[in-house]
Amino acid sequence: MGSQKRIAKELAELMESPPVGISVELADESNLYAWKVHLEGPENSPFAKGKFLIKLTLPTEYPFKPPTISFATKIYHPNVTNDDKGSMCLGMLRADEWKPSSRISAVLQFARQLLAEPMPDDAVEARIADTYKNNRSHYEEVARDWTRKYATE
Amino acid sequence: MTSSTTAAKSLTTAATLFAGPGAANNATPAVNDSATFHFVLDGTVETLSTENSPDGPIKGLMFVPSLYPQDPCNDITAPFIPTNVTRLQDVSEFGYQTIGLAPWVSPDCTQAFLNASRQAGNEALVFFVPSNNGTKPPNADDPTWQLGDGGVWKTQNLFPVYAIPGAAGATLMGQLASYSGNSSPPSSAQHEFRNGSKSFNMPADIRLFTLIDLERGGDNSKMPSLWGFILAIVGTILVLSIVLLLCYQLVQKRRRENLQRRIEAGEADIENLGLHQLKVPQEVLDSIPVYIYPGIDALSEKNLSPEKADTTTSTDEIREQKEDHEEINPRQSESTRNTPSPQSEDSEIEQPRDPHELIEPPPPTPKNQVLVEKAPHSEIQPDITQYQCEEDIPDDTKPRWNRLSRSQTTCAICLDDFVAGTSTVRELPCGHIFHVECIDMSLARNSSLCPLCKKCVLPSGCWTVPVTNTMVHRDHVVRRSQ
Repeated sequence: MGSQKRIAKELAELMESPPVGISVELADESNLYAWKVHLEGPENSPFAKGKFLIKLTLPTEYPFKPPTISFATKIYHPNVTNDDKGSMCLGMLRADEWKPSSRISAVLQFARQLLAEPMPDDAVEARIADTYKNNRSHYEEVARDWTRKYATE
Repeated sequence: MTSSTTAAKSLTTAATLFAGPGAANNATPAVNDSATFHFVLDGTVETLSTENSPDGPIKGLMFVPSLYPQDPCNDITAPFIPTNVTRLQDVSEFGYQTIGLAPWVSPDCTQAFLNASRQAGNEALVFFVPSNNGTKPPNADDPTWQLGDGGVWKTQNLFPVYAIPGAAGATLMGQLASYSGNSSPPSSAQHEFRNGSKSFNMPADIRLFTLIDLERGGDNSKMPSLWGFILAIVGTILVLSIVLLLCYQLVQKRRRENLQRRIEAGEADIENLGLHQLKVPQEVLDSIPVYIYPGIDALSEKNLSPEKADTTTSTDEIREQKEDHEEINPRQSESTRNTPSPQSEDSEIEQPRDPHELIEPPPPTPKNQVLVEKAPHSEIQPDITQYQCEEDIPDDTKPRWNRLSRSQTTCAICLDDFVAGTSTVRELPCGHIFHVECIDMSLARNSSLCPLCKKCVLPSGCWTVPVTNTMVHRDHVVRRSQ
C-alpha cells in the first residue's frame, strides 16, 4: 500500500514537471507498477532526434527494491543488451546499491545521461563497448544509423 | 555347471627329451614347437573332479596305469591300449611327476583304473571315452560319468580327474606306445634328433610330457578377487573423501570463527559480507529513538515551550498510540499518561530531543548526552546498551547529526513531508529521520542499512547471525582486493 502512494506521488510529479527529454505515462491506467517512458536522445549524442520507448517496471516492494528499466526500442549502446529484452545496466539499479531514497526521476535522468556518456567499463555488450573505446567514429555511425532506423517514426 | 574352483583350460602333451634317468626336475622344459610330437587340447578338456587340484598347472609324464593281471578289464580295454604303451615303470625312472591316461569303458574298469592311479600316486588322471568324437566330453554331471555311487568317486581320490575327447585319447595312446621306450620310435623322430646339435639315438629317453593348464574357477574364485579390488578402490576413495571433507569443514569452521571475531570487533566490512540483507529485530527497532516531528521551525528555534517536551515519547507508547488512536494528537494522551511518574519519564523524554536542542539552557556536554541516553534504556532493556552501529562515532560528530536531522523535511521512503507536531519519526543512529512506519518496514523486511546513507542500524556485535561460508568467501575476496 505504501508503495502505491509513493509511486502515485512520483508519477504525479513527473507528469507535472517532466525532466528535459523525458515523458512518462502508465502502460495501463489500472496498474501503477508498469510505466511507459518516452526518452528523447540527448542532443550531443548519436541518439539525438531519436525517440526511445522505455518500459519501467516497479516491484511491489518499491521503494525498498529497485525498479527495472528496459528499452523497447532497439538501441546500439554498450550498456543496453542487444536482445528483445533491451535491459539496461545501471549501477544504481542493482539490488545492493539501490537506496529507497532514490527517485524514478533520478533514475530516468541517469539513464538519459548514460545515452550521452556510455560506461564501456560497465558494459553488458562487450563488442559495442570495444567499438566505443577503440573506434569512436564507427560507433557513432552505427548508433546514428540504428537511431534513424528504429527510433524515428 | 562345474562345482570346481579350478577347471582345466587346456591339456598340452609333447614328446620330451630327457638326458638320462633321474635328470628330470621342475626346470625341465617341454620340448619346443619343433618337437616331433606336439599335441594341444584347448577348450575340449572337461574337469570331472578337482580333488587336490594344485594352484598352478599340472605337469607330468604321461603313462597308462596298469591293472592287476587277472583283472577282466585288461581284456575289455585291450582294444584301446596298445601293448607296448608307456607304463608307470617307464616314467618312474625319471623321478618326475606323472599323469595317468585311461579309457572310460565301464564303471568297473574305471574304478580299477582309479584304484591303480591311487597306487601309482600320479598327479592327475585323464579319461577318454573311446570314440572318434573330437568334441569336448559331456559335462561332469552327465550320466556318462556315473559310477553308480552318486558321484562319490570324485571325492575319493587324491588327484584331480579330467576327461578328453575320444579321438584325442586314441591319439595319445598311440604316441604313448611310440615313446614308451618299449619299441623303436618313429623314423622321423629319430631323424630329427640326429640332426640336432647333439646326436641322440636313444628313444628310450623320450617320453610324453603333459601339462594341464588350469584356470581359476571362472565364476567363483575369479570374480570375488575382481570385486574385492573394486571394493578396495571404492573404499579408499570414500575414506579419502571423508577425510578431505572433515578437513575442509574444520578449516571452514576456523575461518567462520575468525570472521565472527572480526565482525564482533568491527573490523570486517559488513556491507560487503552481505550483511546488509540482515533484518533488524523488533527489540533493536524499539531501541531506536522515536519522537514527534517538531517541525523545521521548531527545530531551529532555541527556546522550546515546556509543552514541547511532551512531544517526545518512548517507542512503546508511540506504538500504543498508533494502535489505539491513530488520529488523536499524541500530546493529549501523553499528558494523561505521563502523570504517574513524571520524574523518570522526564529523563527518558529528554534524550531524543537533545540532539535538536544543543543550546538548551542546561546544556549537557555531548558526553553527558551519551550518558543520559544510555541510562534510561539500560533500565528498560538491559541487554542492549548502545544503539549506534558505529560505536566508534566520536562525540564531535554529533553536531553533524543535529544539523542533518534538522534539515530533513521529507521522508525519503514515502516522499511525504513531515508534518510538524503530528508525524512520528524515528531517528537512526546516523541522524536520518523517517516516518516510523516507513523505516520500520524497511529495516524489518528489507535491510539493516539506512536508506539514505547506508550506514548500519544494528549495534555492532549485537547480532547472532551465523557466519556462513559465503560470507567468509566474500570477506576473503574483499580483503584480497584491498
